[in-house]
Amino acid sequence: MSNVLLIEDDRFLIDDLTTFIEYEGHTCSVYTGPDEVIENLDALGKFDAIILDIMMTRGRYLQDEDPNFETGELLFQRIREKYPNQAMLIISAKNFADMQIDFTAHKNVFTISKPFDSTASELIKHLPKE
Amino acid sequence: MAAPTCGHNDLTMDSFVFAKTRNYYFLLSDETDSTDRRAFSAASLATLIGAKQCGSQELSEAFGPGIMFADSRYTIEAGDDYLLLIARNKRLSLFGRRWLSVAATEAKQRVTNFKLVTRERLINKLYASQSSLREYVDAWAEYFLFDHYSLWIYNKYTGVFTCSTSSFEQTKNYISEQENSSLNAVLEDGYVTESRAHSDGLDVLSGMKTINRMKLSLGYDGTIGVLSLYSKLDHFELEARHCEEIRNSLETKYLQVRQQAYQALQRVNQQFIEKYTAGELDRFLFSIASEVRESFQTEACSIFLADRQASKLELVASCDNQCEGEPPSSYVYSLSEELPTANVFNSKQMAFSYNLEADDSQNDGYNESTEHPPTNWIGAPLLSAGECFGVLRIRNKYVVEDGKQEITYFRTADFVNLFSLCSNLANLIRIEILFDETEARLKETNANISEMSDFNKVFLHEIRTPISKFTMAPEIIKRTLSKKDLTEENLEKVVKQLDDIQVMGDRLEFIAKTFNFNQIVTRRNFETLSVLRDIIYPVINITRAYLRKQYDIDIQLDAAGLQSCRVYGDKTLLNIVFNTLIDNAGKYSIDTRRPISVSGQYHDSGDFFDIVVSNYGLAIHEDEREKLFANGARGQDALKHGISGTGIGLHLAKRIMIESNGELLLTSLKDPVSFTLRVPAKPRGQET
Repeated sequence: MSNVLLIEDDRFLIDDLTTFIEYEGHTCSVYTGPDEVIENLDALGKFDAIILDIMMTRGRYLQDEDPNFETGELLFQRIREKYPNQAMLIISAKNFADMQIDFTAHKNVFTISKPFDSTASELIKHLPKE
Repeated sequence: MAAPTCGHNDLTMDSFVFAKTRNYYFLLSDETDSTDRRAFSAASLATLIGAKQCGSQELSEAFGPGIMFADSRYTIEAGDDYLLLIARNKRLSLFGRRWLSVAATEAKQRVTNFKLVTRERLINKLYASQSSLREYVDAWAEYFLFDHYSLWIYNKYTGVFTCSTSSFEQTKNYISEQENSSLNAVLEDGYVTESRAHSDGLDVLSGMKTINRMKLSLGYDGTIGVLSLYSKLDHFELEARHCEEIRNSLETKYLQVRQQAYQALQRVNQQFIEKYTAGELDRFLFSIASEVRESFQTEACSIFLADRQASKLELVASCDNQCEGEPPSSYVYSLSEELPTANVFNSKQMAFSYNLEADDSQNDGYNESTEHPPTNWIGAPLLSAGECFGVLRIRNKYVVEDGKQEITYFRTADFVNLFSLCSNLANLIRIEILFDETEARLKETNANISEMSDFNKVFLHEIRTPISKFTMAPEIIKRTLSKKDLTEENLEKVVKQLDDIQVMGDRLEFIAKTFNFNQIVTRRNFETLSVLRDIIYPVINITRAYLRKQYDIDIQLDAAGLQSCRVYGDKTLLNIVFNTLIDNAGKYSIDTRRPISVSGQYHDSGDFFDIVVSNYGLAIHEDEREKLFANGARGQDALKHGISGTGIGLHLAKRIMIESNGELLLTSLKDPVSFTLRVPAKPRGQET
């Protein structure tokens, strides 16, 4: 099964999503903010899929970035720059149409809107099986 | 009038030819076959004509000193329309009857020629492409050999005759129907025409013996006109058919004049449509004032509009010698004043004066700059659908005579046209007002929609996490409980899920209340409230667990100053405001882990109670203080740190507090950042 990274700062969701991911047999690591992502950028290649929340606080490194971009969008750019083919699942409570980045234009990127259904099935089904 | 031609038969020296018109013989000049208006009564010459021959002495006596009869005797030959006097000299002696017959034929020919020439001259004048009404009347007067004329037009709106054109200087250009004037006779039923001896007292008419007067029906509305033709000759009466001919001609001409005026008005009206742009009424009225001044040939035009309360009239456009539309200064009439312009508005009736010096001697109010002193005036209400929006007034009507501007008087057409124009203008003003109102409503609606849309965005964002929690938790609990080994760890997991559901449930309920837009906007249920029980605890009880889990932040309540304190307000609204402050404090206390503090005390002699919410998170910059409560305002540091939000919360909270007779204040910018919720401690009117 897949080695999944969940980037999410909503503590009410982290445990639940981790539970569902692990139920499916995947392993799940969690970064609770952008600082961890940036500090571990070189290590992200080991994950089969990255689940990235869009609306998070900026953390230490992204404070001077373009305010029109959400934190998740900035992280997406950095991860994509380094890992252009990385499978990514973008989750957000904000409408994707209101964002600066058109995620649908990127290969191997899926968007999932919050709220999730009872088993977060939209999210789980896009995780690579192997 | 055409200058009289010199007239004495110089060509043959021995014969005189006269054209008979009505009961007079007019001497024809030899070269042009015109007449110098030397006329001789047919009655006075009847004996001579009957005698067939006459001596020069008798002729001189009959024709007066103006004609020299050189020969001793003359033969007199008269036909239906001519009179020939021919000397009985050698030629007549030589050729006898034959010469007389030739001379008579020649005389008839000259009279016929005279008639043809004068008729042709008349036709040329009548059909000249640019002939004025004055030239028209002048042509008829000349054709029928009258010495003077005048045309007066009755204004049914004002009951005044105004002189449209006249061959002589009038001492007064308008005559009221109230005055003692022979003109008023035409107003009587059945009056058509009259011919009588002239007895009017004007010096210029002192030599006039006969007046022919006829009533005219002018224009489509049958405006009454009075044409008077004056003659120095006694009983110089027009035949009925000639009266009819003149009447038909003038009435037709007047229709043409009116049509031209109507077309000019149509052009002005057309400009209404072309020049009017909704939302730019001022500039439009400037151009209308200018157009009206020019089209109506007045020295000034001003437009006044009433305020919404109809308490005053404000000058909005003026065109005169000094300005071209934009008023040189502001001017306001109070509508409680008894001044002509204000009266027009109040009565919704047109008003006028033909003599401002007498009618408005004080000349109070706004005075345009005109070439002549204030002389005449029309004020017209701007009426649309029974509502009066203002007053348009014109002053000092003029005509251009020989390149010079002379004051004249308003005609019926001016009233009719002005009424029509003002009606159109009022309709446009009405449209403009509706446009303004619609635009304001649209703006308000858009603001509401925008506000609701922002609300919706925030609302959707806020409820998505709780919904996810609700949807996923049951499945997690089910799966956990269905495990064969129900360990303590698994049980704890279930309890944790239930705790989360409770926290999220409370939060969701609170969010739903907060984002009930209608309630926020319309609800007002003021009552006496306990600060702790009704405002602080309901919020803290719900939010504390959420803040602890989400941000690792607690709330430190200094309850000492809050015990038994009462305030006056709407519980739900105050909960919304307080929750906004706590929620913001949680979000902005990013990574500090320092608790949010809540304290309170009475303020201002006990009239208000201050609830202070402080946090040690992101500071607020001094330059953000002013705009912090503006709708959509986001702090620089909030954006910098990517703290989600729309800038609605504080704006809404501030509005709620102001409408609740309280206040929301930023009382400290950093370490801590403090907001003070100032709530009335007592109902309004019971303050100390």
